[in-house]
Amino acid sequence: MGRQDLPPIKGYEPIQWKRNLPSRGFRPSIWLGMLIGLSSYGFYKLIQGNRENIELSREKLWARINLIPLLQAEQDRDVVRRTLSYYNREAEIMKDVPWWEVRNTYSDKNEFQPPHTVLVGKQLDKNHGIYNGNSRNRWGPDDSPKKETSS
Amino acid sequence: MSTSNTYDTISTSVATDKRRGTQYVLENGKLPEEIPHVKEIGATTGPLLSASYYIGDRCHAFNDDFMLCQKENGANGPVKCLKEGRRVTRCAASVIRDLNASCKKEFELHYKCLNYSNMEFKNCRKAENLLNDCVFNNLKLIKRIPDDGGKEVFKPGHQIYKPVHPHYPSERAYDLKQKEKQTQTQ
Amino acid sequence: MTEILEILERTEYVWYIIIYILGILLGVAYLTVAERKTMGYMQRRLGPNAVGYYGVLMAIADALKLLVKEIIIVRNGEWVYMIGAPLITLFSVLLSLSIIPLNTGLSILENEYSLIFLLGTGSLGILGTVIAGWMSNSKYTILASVRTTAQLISYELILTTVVFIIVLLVNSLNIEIIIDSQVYIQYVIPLLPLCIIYFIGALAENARPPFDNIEAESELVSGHMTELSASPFVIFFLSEYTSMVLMSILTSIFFFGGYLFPLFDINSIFFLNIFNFNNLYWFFEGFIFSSILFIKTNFFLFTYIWVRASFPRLRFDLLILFCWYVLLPLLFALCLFIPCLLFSFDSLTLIT
Repeated sequence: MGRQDLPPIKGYEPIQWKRNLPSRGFRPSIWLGMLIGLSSYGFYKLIQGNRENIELSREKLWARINLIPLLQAEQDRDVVRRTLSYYNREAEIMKDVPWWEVRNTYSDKNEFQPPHTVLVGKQLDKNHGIYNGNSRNRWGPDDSPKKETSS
Repeated sequence: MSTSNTYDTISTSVATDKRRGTQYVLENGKLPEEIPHVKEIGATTGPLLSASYYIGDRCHAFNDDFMLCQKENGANGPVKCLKEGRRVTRCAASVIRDLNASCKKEFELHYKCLNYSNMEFKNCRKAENLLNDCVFNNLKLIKRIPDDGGKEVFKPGHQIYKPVHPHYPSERAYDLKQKEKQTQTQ
Repeated sequence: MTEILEILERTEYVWYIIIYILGILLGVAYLTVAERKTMGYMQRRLGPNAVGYYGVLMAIADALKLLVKEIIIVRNGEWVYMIGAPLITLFSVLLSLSIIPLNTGLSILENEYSLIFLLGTGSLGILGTVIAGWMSNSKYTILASVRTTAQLISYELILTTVVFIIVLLVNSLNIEIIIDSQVYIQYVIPLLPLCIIYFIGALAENARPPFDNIEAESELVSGHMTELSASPFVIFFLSEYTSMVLMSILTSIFFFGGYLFPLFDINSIFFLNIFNFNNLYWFFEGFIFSSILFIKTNFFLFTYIWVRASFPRLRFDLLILFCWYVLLPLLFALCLFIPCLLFSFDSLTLIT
């Protein structure tokens, strides 16, 4: 019988598991410093931008605030006109009923309240194409020549 | 009462109208005779936004008066504040009229720029600058943003943002104006 | 003639969508060829070069081969779901692409809540993989779909959190406003670590190597689509590559400013500032600005391929742990830190 293979008496040599590659580039701390520097610059610009965005939205807001009384006044006139003419029409229709009283339905208080029911008109532009659906003559009487429908 | 369709957007197609069941309120009655007539302002978003700060400057008192009246009267506001409302509208109309009379070119340039750039003031600084100068020289109205801490983003050089899609007609007009100024100083 | 024009005008949006989708799908087809070619050169071989000049027609040949093959459905499988599942995945990706702005105001679907839409459609895609794995009635595909869901849901969380941080910076869910705010600074500069995290998350979300444990070809056959073949498989394949394009586009939008070009004044370089506004002008403007977006996108697509050619695969448990133990805590910390930073410098736009 031959001798059994045994490890060398002093043991094996240490295995070289570490690669001897030179470490390239900067130290990690320098990379971290560069990253922080870059981020700081970025955040500086970003903060400036955000501050300006706040100012820009303030500008938009005040432009709107300056216009609100104008728009509100126009809308109010329209509401009053519609309300009064609605009540006038109601009084005209119900003039033969002696106990009828034209007043707002939903509140006992004597306050202005537009009627909760409205006169509803036609659907505009029924036969027009998809693309320019309601572009023509939206609010006025329908002057455009009507197409003959087969129905 | 809804004065028009209840949706905020303008309907774009018959299909949308059908789906929403859009119907329009027809009410053609006039205001009673005892309420004086006032011509409505009739301007669209662009011109109104362009003129808004001048309206705010000149009509400050009327605007505050109107809003105060509304606040005091609550639900009765629409009927009680008609007089104040007429003043507001007349004042705003006077601003628009004056702008058209003395700064028509700049005004048109600015609201066209606003229309072009989705109503963003930040895209139209050059046109706005021209308009501000002209309005200050002719009408003595200035643009002022309250509570902005003196930052005044609308002044030339104060804004960092550069428009991605500039409005070239207004850029060209601004450059022309700068050249004129330079030749005048020389 | 006028009638034809009128019909064209009425169906305008249909044509837009068809052209858009065709462009995307064609781009995706060539992306597959580009990937094979690039990987070929990275591994010192030629890559596809037989069909057409320089292998240009390879995409068409591949598609033809796969589409002409017989569709084999396993006997136990539910064929409706097996064919339907890939379609769910593909359509969810195409839906997400519809909100991508190619220029200011130039997108199929333009709305104020585009990021919500994006997160929703992004999550829908997972449903397709689950259904495909489940309905094949095979234990391997079910296991694969569980694996897939675990990975995709985990990494979707990361993408969502990064997007959430950007929303905190911008105070808007509108993707165009996010791009517009990057005129000041492109977010890659302050948020470079987040950009890298987003890219890693996108790699995992698309199941690209080195995170492709869910469908590793050589080891795990094909994951949830093991039982699929021919055209259902093609659609899955297509949706994967489309979502790769989508993720690249999103990375370039969130961090590199989308169609913005900060170095030069793009309008004067291309003489856009001397023309009047007419139809040709709008065409050229859109063309130039969307080209900028797609050049940035191509860089990321190349990086996907580059990473695939370079890195070995991660172990699956490590992949999931990396998400839950490393990235998510980091991102949540940043979610707290960045608003605090902005608030302390008086620039958190949320409070105006």
